Amino acid sequence: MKKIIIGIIVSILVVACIVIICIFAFGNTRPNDTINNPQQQGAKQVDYDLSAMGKSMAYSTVVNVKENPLGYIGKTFKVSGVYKASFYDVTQQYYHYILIIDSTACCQTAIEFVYNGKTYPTDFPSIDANITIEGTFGSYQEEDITYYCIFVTSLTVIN
Amino acid sequence: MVEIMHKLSLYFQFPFVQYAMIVGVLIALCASLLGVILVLKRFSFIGDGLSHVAFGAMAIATVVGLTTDMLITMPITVLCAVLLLRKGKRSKISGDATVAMVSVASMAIGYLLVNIFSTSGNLSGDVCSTLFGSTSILTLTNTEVWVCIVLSALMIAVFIIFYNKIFAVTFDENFARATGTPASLYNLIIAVVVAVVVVLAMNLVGSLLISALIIFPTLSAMRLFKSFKSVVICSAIVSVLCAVIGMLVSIVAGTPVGSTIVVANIAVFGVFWLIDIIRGSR
Amino acid sequence: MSQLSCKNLNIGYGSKTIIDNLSFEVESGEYLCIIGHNGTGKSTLMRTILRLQPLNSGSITLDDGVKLNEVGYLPQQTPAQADFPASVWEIVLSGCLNRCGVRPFYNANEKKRANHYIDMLEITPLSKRCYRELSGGQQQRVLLARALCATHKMLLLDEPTASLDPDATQELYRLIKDINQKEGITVIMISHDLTVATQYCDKVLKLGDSPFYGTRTEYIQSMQIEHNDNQGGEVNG
Repeated sequence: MKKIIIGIIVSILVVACIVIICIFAFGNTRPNDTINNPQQQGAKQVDYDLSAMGKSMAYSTVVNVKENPLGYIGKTFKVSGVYKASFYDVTQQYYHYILIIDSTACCQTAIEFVYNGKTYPTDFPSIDANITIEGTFGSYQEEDITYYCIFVTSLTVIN
Repeated sequence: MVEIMHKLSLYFQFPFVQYAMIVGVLIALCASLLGVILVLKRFSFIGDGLSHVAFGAMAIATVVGLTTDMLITMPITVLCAVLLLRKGKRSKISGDATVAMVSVASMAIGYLLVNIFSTSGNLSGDVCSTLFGSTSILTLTNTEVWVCIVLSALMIAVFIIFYNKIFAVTFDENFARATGTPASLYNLIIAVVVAVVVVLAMNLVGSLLISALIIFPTLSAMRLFKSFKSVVICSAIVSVLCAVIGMLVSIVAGTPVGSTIVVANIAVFGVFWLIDIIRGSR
Repeated sequence: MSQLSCKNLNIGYGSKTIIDNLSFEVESGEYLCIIGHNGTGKSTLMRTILRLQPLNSGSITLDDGVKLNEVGYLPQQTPAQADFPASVWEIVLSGCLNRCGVRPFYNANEKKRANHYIDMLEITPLSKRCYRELSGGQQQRVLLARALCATHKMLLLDEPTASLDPDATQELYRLIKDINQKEGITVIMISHDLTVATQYCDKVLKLGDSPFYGTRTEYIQSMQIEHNDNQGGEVNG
């Protein structure tokens, strides 16, 4: 009996290992080579589609991007979240953010985005609207500080 | 199924997900080894008590403004562990009352301090995250990852090197002491290991659920296996498996990591318990 | 020079003295039985000899090259042991721990030693079995094997037959006497069972109200006298 039980445990372990090895094997291919996702057919492919992820994963990804921004420069993102804006007296400009909340609504983080050629408030949605943005991750300099943000190419309001 | 595999392969591109898996597996392994010692020494509640102390210590670290809270949390938890476990079986104040006292006091003081002094925008979010560990494992900084890996490896090495001594002191402390083994020293080592593992495990499953990570694999293993070595090995395998499955499911389904891992552990315990009952009734 | 020499011992818990001004000696290879009613301090005395308990005053000297980590001990059972998952082999082998020192793993010598005592105590077929599934008598033999692994000089036993049925009790006494005679190991045993006192041991130490320390024959004689006194009392009364 003991041998059977050991056998069961070992086989679960082997199956789990195979699954994990497959995941890593798939994981090494470039995102553009992966199987066509029906939701994305017809849409432009992005490097990181956070809008298709679970909320907690999206939250974690954003936290990690902000933690290690250099590795993500030049990559394209698609993010869903809540639109926020704030006015900074010193530069007399509006700054735009997308707020991502995790699935337990316990933690939240925001990432800045820049929508070139658009003026606030006419071209932007109302504050707290649910939006999806697509763009390229990059940085800019202001007052000797480097800021990381997404340079947005498209912004849609979700209902 | 293909959908899920595709999703997972996408997620695993991220280094932070890969790190989370590695750290998670190591922590689960340490916790299970520790669990065997604590359950058999009848000190299961120590894991819970120390996790509350760690919460209190973390609150102090937040108030003081440290970004790497482990600098304060680790020493305070180790100190408490040593004080609580040092006496082993010879403690004057009844063991469980002391632990309860210290544990509840730390929680209360910690929460009070955080409420009075914290400048964080989302207070209950921070507290909730510390208590339940919803995404902590996925948002570790690089330093934290390395600290976790090094400390886990160290704890596992300590367990292997002192395996025979730990067995003797856990099975029969009086005999070990009587035949000249320095049981107090090994109790001290065990106390330090408990504290370190508890603080590390807070990153994976949060304060409140650490006990589950420590206790369940051992209890599951004890249902089916009869020798100490086989219980240790089974406990380690069960713990790692449940951690992996729990993390994968939580990443894909968006559930909190800690609870998912604990549910996986409960399921395995249920299965093993059933097998034991069926085997017993034959 | 005796192997164990106790002089003017004063033993107790905190301020409460249980034993006062006790002196006795045990030679190498002797079999001493410690008896007395409950509460007279038998277990406390043994724990004090083993340094598990502090000594209030007096001196305990171990000689003839016996170091503290060469003494085997069979304590009264503690509840935690009852459902501990450990095989007989693991438990007996753990008796050799005091020989390891800093070394993390057991070497071939120690494993041979464990096997030797498992065979001697006739528990070889049980060696892979789980300790908690054994009968009371079998468990005691396992613990005795463990105690023997820890020593080749002196064995201290605390009421080893307390929870055993009469057959198992006799078996254990026989095995202990065998060990004492064949291996020349000093045995100090606590018992409330007068069979041992009057049958197997060399010397008797009785604690309590009417203390006694002497050889077995002297003890039997003193018991006879006491018995006759009582009889005489009844006849007259």
